[in-house]
Amino acid sequence: MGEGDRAGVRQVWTEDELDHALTGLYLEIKTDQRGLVGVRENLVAAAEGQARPGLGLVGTGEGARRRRPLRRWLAAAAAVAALATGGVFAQPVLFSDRAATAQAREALTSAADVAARAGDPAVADGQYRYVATHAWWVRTTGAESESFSFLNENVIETWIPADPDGEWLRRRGETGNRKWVKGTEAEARAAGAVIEETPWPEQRADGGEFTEGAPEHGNWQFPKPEFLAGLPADPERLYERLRQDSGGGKRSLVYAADALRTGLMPAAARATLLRALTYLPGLDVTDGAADLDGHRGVALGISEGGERQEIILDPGTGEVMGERTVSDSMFAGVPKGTVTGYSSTTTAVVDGIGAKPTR
Amino acid sequence: MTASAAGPGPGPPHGEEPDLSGPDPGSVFGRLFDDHAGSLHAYLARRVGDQTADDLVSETFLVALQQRHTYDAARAGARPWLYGIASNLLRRHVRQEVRGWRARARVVGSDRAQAESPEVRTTERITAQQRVRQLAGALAALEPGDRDVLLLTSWGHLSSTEVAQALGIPVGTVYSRLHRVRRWLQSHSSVATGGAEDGDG
Repeated sequence: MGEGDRAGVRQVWTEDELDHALTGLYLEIKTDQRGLVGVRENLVAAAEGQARPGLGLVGTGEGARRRRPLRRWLAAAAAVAALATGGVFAQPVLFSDRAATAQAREALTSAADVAARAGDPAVADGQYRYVATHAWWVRTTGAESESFSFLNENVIETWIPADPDGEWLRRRGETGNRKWVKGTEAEARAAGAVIEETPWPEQRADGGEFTEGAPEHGNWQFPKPEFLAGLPADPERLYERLRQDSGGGKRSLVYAADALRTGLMPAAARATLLRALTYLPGLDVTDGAADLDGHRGVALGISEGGERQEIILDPGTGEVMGERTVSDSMFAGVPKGTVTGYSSTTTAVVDGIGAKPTR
Repeated sequence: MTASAAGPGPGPPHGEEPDLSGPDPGSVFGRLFDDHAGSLHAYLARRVGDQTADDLVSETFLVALQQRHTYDAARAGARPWLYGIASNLLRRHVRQEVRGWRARARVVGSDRAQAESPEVRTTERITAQQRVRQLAGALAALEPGDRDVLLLTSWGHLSSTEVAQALGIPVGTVYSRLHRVRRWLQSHSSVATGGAEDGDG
């Protein structure tokens, strides 16, 4: 039975079969909501208690009561904007329904040419490709009756061996750099809020399989050689594949950036993917001199749902330096052009697992 | 039971989001509860059972009440806000949930198939029930964050943007997690329940 099973069991479900199984599982589990009546009574009693001074569960003063939540969000957005020191100069986006704008096509093609010419840095036996991502993410933490928000700097470092089937190493952690958006660190600590994350354990895994369930042959988020080998070599057909896999629009850019950021794509594949993006409708050069950690790059963005997703290319190397999300004019009253999320990626070749690049 | 009779519907339509900081929290939260508690409870009960779901719904609305001044209707609807609070609270019950999925992988389908009349016990139906059982086993193997994204989408009927708001993660992360986890389930659901299959004989 062993051999037959091994050869035969790996049946792959279609999208429909998965959806049916999910719905089936939902319907299989019967639930009883009679307990909700009592829950509602308790809630309304608690809410009415809050309305009367002195009985409230929360000791909020008038100031807290009048605080406008929008202001908090604006403060978060402004704080991220302050991190991107160069600021953002939003330009009108000229939508084209068939491809990226001429400006974007030019930037992509020229970056692709540079990438293809530059080739890949050689990683000799025993050496490692080092990929580090710095990202500022908003974190909200709560104590009993208050919540606090801050921008938290995270660093994710990955060491990839010359032979990608060998042992990889990943370290992830907070740098301790924080920018407080709502409340202060002292207030949060006094209220008993948890600020530090539980430290992430160092991860080691053969072939980069850090999480259980990583796709066997890779995907856009983990572009293994066999995945890359299966992609079309023609840029237009590659775009079509990207569109289908991602769902299209802004997601196409997110998926392309996911793949480019890993450090797993050889120069030729990067160049083809950049050329494929010239077919992405609505993609435009949104900032000709975007500043990421003091390095200037060209931002290419696509707007959707009130927010613009950008990738930032280093014109000197054709590599993706980072990503940003930038608010669009329609987004919750946040000024157009405000940076609301930010990450940058650097790569290097190092001499040992866990070794940092020397600069 | 009325809410579950309505099935896994998308919840109340998004119109005016409530002003939760108003002067009459009793009636505001009463309405908020009427609008959302049924579907939230159904979602939670399917993950951790009725009793824990009762507690979680209660805690979710009490946290919401305490944090109502920080609720920002301009940023997120009430629904993703509540599901986000509930998702945080649910993390305390991960082990219980995983045990539940493992147990379900062994029993779902087999007993229900018995209960059906012979006419409907077609091969197709049994195959579908096997898939449901296999899926339960595979859900046990997911990382909690991946399970949240999948089930908030599939069972909670939240859009990707709402899932992002609920979990406090970028929407791109929702897209890629959802994509990754669906792909993995499509190819690994049968493999992941291998042990359960053997156990059943």
